[in-house]
Amino acid sequence: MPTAVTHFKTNIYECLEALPRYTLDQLYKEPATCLAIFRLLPSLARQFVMSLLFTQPINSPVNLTKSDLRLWVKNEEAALTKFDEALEKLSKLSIMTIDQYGYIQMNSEFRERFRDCLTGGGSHQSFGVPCKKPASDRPDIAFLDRHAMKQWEEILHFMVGTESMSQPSAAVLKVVTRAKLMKEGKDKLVITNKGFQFLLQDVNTQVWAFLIQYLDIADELLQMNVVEVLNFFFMLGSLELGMDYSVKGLTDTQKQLLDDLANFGLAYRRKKGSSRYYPTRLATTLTSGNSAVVSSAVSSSASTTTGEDGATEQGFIIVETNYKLYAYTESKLQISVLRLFCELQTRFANMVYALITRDSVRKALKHGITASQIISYLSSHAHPQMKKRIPLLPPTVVDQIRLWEIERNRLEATEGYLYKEFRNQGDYEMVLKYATNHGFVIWFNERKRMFSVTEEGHEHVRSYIKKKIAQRKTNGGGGSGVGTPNHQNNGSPSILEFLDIEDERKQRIGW
Amino acid sequence: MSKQYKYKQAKITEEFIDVDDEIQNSTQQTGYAWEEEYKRSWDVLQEDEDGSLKRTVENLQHRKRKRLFRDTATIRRGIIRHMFLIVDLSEAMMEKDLRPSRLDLTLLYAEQFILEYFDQNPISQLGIIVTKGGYAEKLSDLTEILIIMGSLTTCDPGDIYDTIDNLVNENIRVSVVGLAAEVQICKLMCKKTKGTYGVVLNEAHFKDLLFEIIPPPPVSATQNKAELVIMGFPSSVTDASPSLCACHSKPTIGGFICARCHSKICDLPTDCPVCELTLVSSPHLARSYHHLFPINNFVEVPWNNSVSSTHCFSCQIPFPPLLGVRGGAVPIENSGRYKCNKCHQHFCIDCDVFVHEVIHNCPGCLATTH
Amino acid sequence: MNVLRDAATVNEDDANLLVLIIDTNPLIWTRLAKSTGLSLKEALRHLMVFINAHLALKHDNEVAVIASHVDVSKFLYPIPNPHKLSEDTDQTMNSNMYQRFKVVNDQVIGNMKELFEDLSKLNSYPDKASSMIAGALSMSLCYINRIMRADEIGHIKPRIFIASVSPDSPNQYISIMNCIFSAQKLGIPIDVCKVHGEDAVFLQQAAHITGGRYLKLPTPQGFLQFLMITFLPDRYTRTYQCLPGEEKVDFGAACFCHKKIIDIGYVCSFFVIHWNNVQLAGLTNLMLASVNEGGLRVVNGIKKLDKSKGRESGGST
Repeated sequence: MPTAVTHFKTNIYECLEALPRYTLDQLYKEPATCLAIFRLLPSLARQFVMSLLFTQPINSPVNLTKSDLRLWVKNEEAALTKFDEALEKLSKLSIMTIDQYGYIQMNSEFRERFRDCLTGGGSHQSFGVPCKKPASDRPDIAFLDRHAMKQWEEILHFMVGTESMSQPSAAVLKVVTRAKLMKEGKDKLVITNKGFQFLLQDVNTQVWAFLIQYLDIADELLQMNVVEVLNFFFMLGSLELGMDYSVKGLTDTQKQLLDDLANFGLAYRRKKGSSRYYPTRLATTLTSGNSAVVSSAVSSSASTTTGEDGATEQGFIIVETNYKLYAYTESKLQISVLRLFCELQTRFANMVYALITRDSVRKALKHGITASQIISYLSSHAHPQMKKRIPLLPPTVVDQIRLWEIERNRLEATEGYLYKEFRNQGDYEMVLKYATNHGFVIWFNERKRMFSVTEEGHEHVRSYIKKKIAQRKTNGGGGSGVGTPNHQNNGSPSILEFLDIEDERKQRIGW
Repeated sequence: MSKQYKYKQAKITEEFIDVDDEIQNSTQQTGYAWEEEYKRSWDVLQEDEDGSLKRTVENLQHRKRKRLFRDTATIRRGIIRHMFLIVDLSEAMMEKDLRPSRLDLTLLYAEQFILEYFDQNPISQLGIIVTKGGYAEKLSDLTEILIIMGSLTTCDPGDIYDTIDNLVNENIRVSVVGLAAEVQICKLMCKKTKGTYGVVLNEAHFKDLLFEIIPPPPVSATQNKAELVIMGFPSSVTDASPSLCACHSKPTIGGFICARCHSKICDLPTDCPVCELTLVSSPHLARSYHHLFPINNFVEVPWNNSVSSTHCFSCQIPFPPLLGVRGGAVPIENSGRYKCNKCHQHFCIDCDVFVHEVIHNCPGCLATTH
Repeated sequence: MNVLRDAATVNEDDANLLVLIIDTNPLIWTRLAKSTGLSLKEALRHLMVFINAHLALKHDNEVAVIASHVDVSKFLYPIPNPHKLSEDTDQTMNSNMYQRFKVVNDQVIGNMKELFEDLSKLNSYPDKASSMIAGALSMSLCYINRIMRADEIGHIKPRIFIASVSPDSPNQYISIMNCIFSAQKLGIPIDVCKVHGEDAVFLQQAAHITGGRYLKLPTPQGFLQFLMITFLPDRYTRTYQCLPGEEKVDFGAACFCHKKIIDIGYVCSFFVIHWNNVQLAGLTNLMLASVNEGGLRVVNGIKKLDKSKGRESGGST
């Protein structure tokens, strides 16, 4: 679970961080956006914002320096690291910045709107305009869940290449190709390695990844205003599941956006151009990370909240120490995701039994899926019964999956040259000694009188040998000792019989 | 017919179920642990007509609650205890009639025992002695002894009857938890010294016997000397620079100052190492109260009286609604409501257990004025 | 007991359950409004913002609100069957407020109004000076117990916050201490903000024993600011924070003898329980009764000796 949440956070966080300050200021005009962005901050940063939010009238600056603020955290290394991290994130999102006099300034737009958010002031309509009366045939939550799942899984099915019902919308096609989740194949789009990785993420991460790509397109191709698009995303995240909302008050861009999002399964509209829309669980949990499972304990108690969990967010996988995997699912999609790294054995009405084997994992690794992704998929989709255990997954299985990954990396290639066919041991040792002293040797075998040297060492060794040959020639006058690569010498013990261009071989050395 | 049969079976088998460390009612046991077959917890699960396990689970819960019924009569208890825990480490402890072994289970329970002992007896002392190969070493004089004994024989240097007489004279209460079989001399010793003697039937019963000893023991009327112990209530200090404490001779910043001799000690409760005054803090004394007032048992509310309440008074969880008997649905046996006879509020089973085991306050009595 | 897992370890991802106990003693609030200008209504507005801030911190943060009134402790939120507050008007939904904030705020305020509707009972209150804080604490512990049982993976970290105005009620000493020890055992910190009046010794101990925070409000006008700085941080954040004014509490036997500080006393090694007619009021004195001029006076078999003969500690029965 934690991995899933951090994934989501870094993604949307990075996206926001890259925005220019002016755009951020525009974004902070909406309290809903302020709240959503506020929740992306680290704990300590959130606390700083809260502590300083109501200190003074809106217009007057906060009279604090960084060192004043530091007094609030413990004087320990861990705490100070957190402190620095908090301030860095705050300033990157230009919520709190340090001016040239060293005073901390809170973004006044953010401050005002976030205050409005907490006190319920203002008339910004930033949390969606609800319909005065619910529609007589208002869809219930189960229906919305089904709608969301159907739309979203259609996209995923399309990516996996299941015998698909229909071609997804143009917006979907644009996003998947642009995000390089799929690429042009022979006659149709085929999934890429990145696409496989995408499939292993939890739904919330997938949705965000999708939306962020969409944001890019919206900016470039559809000429939509980034601020409007982001505001709309964050507003959707603040809506209440199962309520009627009116399209009144949405800008034209946002209305257009709504159509696309309905396509992705984030919202439901009875028909195009209908005056009402209903956010689905995909939308309302946008800003809450992947929380549907964990918060269920409380939500069933509090009278306000959302009801049952979305079907996909419920964990369904049980892994045993003997590498057997039981998945309580009927979804074709989930089964095909499992097939990425498991060997399916038996399929029952509501359960699939599979094995995690070396081959199956290696197959996944070849697709560019990493061991960590497999492990995080298994742990985030673990059955509630599994979640009670510490550690969650059997360590043997986790370790083995990692080992299988490392196994692939155990060969390391080094370019080099092999020297061989020395006539006698003395020559061999002499050259080897020279090469060793200069640190050129990669590998050697005394018995076979062979060694190999690095690429840069090759030139030196060669000239050394040439020098030696020349020396012998002048000394011995032919008869003794010096050999040439071309076997010109008549059988006398020559040191460098071999040194011929043909014999220089590039070798890949394995270890 | 089949319905009835199923139901009967559920009743019988549930006696053997071993859910978590749910403590079983010892009187319901039918035999010794080694006489039973290997227990598989799923064997005893029974589905009801709808294929649901709900009723079995509810019956279990209900049984758990039964255990809670406690004597709430007037008794007098000693709050300052000095107890030895003697653990047998002889070869007999390697027996595996208690799972995983006598020794492992003893150590596990002893650990829990010690925590619970100090929770309920915050200003008491506890010493531990292990016996092995004919030797036992005493560390200091305390007034109570608890022996966990796996062996069937004892190894006495002198006359055991003299030893028992000495124990009686010194007012030392001896309790024994036997893991093997009843030993006459132990029984005699416990009887004479007014301790308790029990032989375990199975794992859960072991824990029962052990934990029975935790609540402060009742005091007989003849023993009623109302002995007074002088105690100091030290004040806490935080020094600017570290100074040495009297107990460990280590430099410390925070600590407590003995009320009589003003030496600095690290933690409470303790005896002052300098003037030997017993030092406690007021919460320690108050904690002694914590387990001493058992609150009245709640009574189960029958279905026909339960219409008035829709949710648990203290935790707000909704109660099961009154089900019509028509439609063939068998109504759940109990209404899930439990009533305090003082304030007449209804509580759910979890709150009932929680209130009696942990808080020792009735939320209804405290939150309303009647 | 193993359901109640160790709540000590906290993660950044944890959700927080905040149980607010608001002391709504109307007599004291009326007096307080006159003397300091902070009325209950005003304080409630601050508390609402505080609740919203808590909910804003994390999407899965939860809140429960209990009123500790003069004659009753009552849940204000969540309640099992919430009244539909003016369903037909536009008020149920408001595009200017986050829906979760709105639901909580509306219910708390609506139920609070109900609590104050029947003011005629005011004269029949048995103990006008204090509020039913022990009942409220017991209820909050039961509620937390329920939530924690349901949360099998230990994701929710509970804590209790008490906004107190009434003075300590000796009647409730044992029951409050019972709650404190239970909370300590379950690892639930109790924060206390004393909005008005003398320091509440019982609650001070509650905060100290359970590892919570205690603050006596220096200026009632800055209520919200103190809430935000001192009481808002969740348990994870607190591991990195240090706050001004985290002092040690003196554990002299003050509370037993009603603020008469004793250094050395005699304590009976047996404890007498009369379950059927426990005089709760007398209990705090049971343990340590006073001694004059070095002599011993026995009260229910328990005595106390003053440290020096000359010092008068006086019986407080």
